[in-house]
Amino acid sequence: MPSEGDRGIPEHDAGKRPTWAIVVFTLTGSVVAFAAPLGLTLMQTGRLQPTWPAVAALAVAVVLGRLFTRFPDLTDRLVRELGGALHSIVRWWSATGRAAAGFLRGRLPALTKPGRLVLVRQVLAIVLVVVLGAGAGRALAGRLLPAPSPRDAVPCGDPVELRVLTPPEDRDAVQSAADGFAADQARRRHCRPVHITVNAQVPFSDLLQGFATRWQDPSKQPVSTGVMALLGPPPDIWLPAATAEADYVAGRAHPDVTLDDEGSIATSPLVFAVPDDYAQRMAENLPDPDAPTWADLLAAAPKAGLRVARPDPTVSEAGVLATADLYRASHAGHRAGGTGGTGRDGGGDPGDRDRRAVEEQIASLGAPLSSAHDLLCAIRQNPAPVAVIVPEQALLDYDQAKPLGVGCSLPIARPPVPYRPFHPADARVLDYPFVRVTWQGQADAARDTMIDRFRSWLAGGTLQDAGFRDRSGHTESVQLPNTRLETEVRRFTRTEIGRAIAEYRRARLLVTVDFVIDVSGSMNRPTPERVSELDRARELVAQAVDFLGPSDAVGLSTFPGGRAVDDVTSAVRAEVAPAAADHISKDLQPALARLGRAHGGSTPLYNAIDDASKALVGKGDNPAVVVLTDGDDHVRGGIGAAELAKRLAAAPERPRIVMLATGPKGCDEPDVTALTATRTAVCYNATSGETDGLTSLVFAELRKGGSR
Amino acid sequence: MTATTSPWPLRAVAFAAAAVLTAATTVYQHESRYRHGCGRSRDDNTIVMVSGEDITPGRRREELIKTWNDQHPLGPRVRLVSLPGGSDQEYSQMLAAQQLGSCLYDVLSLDVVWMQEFIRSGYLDPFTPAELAGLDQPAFLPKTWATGAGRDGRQYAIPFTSDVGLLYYRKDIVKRPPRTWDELRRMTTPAALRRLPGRDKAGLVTQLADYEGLTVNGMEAVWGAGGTIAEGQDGRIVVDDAAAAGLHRLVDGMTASSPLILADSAEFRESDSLTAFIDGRALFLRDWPYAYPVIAADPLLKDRVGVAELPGPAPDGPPGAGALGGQDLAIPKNALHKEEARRFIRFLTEPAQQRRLYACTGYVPVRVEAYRDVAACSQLTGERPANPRESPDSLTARQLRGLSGILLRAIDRARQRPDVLYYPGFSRAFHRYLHDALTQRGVVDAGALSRLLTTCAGRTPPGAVCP
Repeated sequence: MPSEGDRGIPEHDAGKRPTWAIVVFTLTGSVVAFAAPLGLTLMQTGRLQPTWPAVAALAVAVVLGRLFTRFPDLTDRLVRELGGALHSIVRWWSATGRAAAGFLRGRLPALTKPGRLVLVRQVLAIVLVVVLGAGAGRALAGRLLPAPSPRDAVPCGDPVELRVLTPPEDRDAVQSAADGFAADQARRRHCRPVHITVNAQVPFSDLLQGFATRWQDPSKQPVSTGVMALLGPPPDIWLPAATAEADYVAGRAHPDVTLDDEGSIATSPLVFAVPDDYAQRMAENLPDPDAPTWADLLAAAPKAGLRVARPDPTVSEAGVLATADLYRASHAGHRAGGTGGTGRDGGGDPGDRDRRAVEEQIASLGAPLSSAHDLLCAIRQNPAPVAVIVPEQALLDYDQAKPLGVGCSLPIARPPVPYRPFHPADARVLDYPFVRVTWQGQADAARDTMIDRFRSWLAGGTLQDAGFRDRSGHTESVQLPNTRLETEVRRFTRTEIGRAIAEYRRARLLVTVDFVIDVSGSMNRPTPERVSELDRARELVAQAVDFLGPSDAVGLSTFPGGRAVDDVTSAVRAEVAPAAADHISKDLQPALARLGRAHGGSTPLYNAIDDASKALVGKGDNPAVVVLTDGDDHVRGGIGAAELAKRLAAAPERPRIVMLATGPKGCDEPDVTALTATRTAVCYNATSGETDGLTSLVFAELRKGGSR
Repeated sequence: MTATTSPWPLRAVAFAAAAVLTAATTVYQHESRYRHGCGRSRDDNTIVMVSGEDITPGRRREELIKTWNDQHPLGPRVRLVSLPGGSDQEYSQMLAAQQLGSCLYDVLSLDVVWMQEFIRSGYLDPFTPAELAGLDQPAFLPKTWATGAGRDGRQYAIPFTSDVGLLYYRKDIVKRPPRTWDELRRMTTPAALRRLPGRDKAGLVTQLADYEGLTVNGMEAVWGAGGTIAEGQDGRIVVDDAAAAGLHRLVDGMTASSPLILADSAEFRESDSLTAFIDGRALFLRDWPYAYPVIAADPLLKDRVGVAELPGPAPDGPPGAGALGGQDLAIPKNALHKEEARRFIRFLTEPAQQRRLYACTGYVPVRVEAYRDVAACSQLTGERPANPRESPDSLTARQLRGLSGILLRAIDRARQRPDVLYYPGFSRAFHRYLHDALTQRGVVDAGALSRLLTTCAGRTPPGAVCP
């Protein structure tokens, strides 16, 4: 070694200083430190065969053994330096303590001295190792913890079963992303590590309650002792449409339910879409067609000959978000012009009148609108001069003739009427957060790993193929007219969600509704859905509770009142009274729960309607009788259809009569057609189909102003 | 940093100390997230049973719970957790709960097709011979009892209800039920169809939507042609020639120029197909026994519909085999109240409860007594109709007795869906392949199907093709 001794330092030692040995030593130490406790835990729980750690321990021993034989002074030094290290750690602690004490006493700490800089660097180095180590530990935990399963014959054991919940309009997109993820995982690991079941979201109103009650179905909750109905499988992953919504729900969740928002995975702006043929006329009526506001669009729609529809805010979260967007102007207007004396209503919130005006403009399409897809399916099936408020992504599904859920699942070539979006300047963006849900502290590592991977998969742009934008509002290509590649991501706030829900209840037309359930013997008849007709009727009324606000009024009666074959009376089960939470939970729901089986001997249908309409007098605005029946009126001594029509016409405030027909003949039952033919009543077939969709439709019709 | 203030071993030791600290933190976090309770307090003195939604007219199954609770005022009481959404959702929730080590449930009511997967995964507690002795095993129908048995010979579940595919036919139009598929086709004449009131009519309506029901229909088509689909010695799934012919016949029935099967069947599940049959859109309906009381309660159809076993392979041979369905009751490993749960299972499978379920709900009982000693629902519950003109029962004792004979024969002949290593993968691949064939391709390629099923049924690494 020619250079040895030239630098005047004891190179004899320096040349022997094994830099790579330090690295190996430290790394081995860290790996052992991570792996040993994990391995022990795993072996204890029977998830790791002892072979694996044995091999690893052997390898570590060999490496260390070689190190110590190659550098015999290493052992020596280690023992010597250990004491020094402990000493310096103690010194560091006391120095930090002194510095803190000095800081507390108001003096400048001595940390800026050159000697302290070394300490700072050391601390930084330790922090770095801790951070890297934590990452490595996590990765190790993920790799080493398979699901507990003795099914060795199946590669990977049981696939982890992940339960995912999405809004109905995102179901197909999420399902295909989930299929892609499962296939990708299978390819990488040569086995089936995961299976994902995607569930379309329950009604928004139930969802709020579900997270607050450990996923119990609120409409079925009190029905029977000893039975607890769930809303479906409680999700591991919830993919709501907006972060604000997740925040709003998290604020009301049960303490046993943990919701972790792990960030947005995609975005899609809310748009105001009109049929192509109307776009020109719309533009002409807008002050600034390139940047209209919601208020501009709502004002222009009737001038262009369009009504406006949005998903039902009671059951659809897209509907709630659209409502929050539509109402925003009603607040801004009043903040700006509140003192200007613009002649608003006296009492209450001055914005209420504006919001009522908005609600009066919203059309019922005569079809269930429980999601954005339902709404778009309704216009696909029955094109009408209607503008729709939906997420851009749902509009793309419509535009590309994709399946739109129940009733629109079969493929078609192209939509019958193309729609063109307007992007309101004050529209917010749906930012689809990924929410990990933990129920009663139940978690397992394999599940967490899969949830992490699925999150990365979704955030990696998988959803953009399905028409979503990326997290920053960017899209690769524009497929709809009037649309830009970039959208500014303005998010909803949690307050807006709560406010929209409360304000919507005040803004919509109030109803005073008496539910009248047929309990004649024929209602025990089983339906193709395997429940009895009475079960079906009870389910519909239970669901209706979601659609009532405290300013509405509700009651329940049944007919016949007695068991005699010529009984023409009705029995009041719950008086018509304001639909406050107390009335619902103490009167209505227990009364419903008692309707186990029908025992009546007669069916005085017309008398029952007459009784109910009399009971509604003076009870509130916009009275309605909703009758659930299989429809044949057979009783001696009862009134007929003509007499009923006459009595209703003579009533001081004539209620709307809505029949929900549960029988095999549906609305074609002669005793029902006797009323519908003369427009005394309207009838919906309630034999089968989605409960919330039908209930949403009925209430949309009841809250529709104008003629009856 | 200089060597004098910080010699490398000091750094190494500091690093090692940091690493140990980090490892400890990681393990602590790991433990605090995963070494949790099991979701329920051990003081909860309730037997919790989880099952699909109570789809019985008038909530008769819930009444069984009430009966138990009335008989046990001092406890333990039973709470039924009901899961809506169908078989896939039940499977998803019950499986996820077991994977999580949850002790939320003491009794699982499991569809028979998921049984083997739960047994093999080690989620269920077997019954000891002593416990089985108290259950009176000889009284159970052998086919249903076998659904709860593991491959190790132990009994992991007790049957609660059974199910089997049946053929309903319009006896006012065709004289007798068809014995073979060809006969069914011959009976579907334009003249016969003209006598049906509905629009868009066809010979047969059944469940061919892309779900478990299509696997059932596919397997019944295979058996009806005398074929089998099963795991061979080498773990390959063999689709024999007769099986391929049966599947082809099913696909052809849908895609031929004059279709035998109602086209909407491709989107139909049980209730849709039953509704279509009630609406007079088909001469024949393949469905489960629950359809019988629904049809019997229909004022127009009650005397116009007959029920029989499914068509078989040969005109002079036995009828075809229906798929065996039903629910078994099992106790998960993590249950809190196993002893009480066993008592509750014994209660649910007692003859009194089985007879009542049969007479009042149309559920298919699993014990012979329920078939031998038949009474109408009102006789068992003492309910009286208010209106003497109305029958209080959806099925009379005579109707129930007639159905009993058919059910006993059909269950005796019924077959289980293939017992493969990973049934969910097998079934998803099978019904998705068939659905594509029914709605798009129009042909079944036995070789390709066999390869697909082998890949997805669990013994070999799955390809990306497995749904």
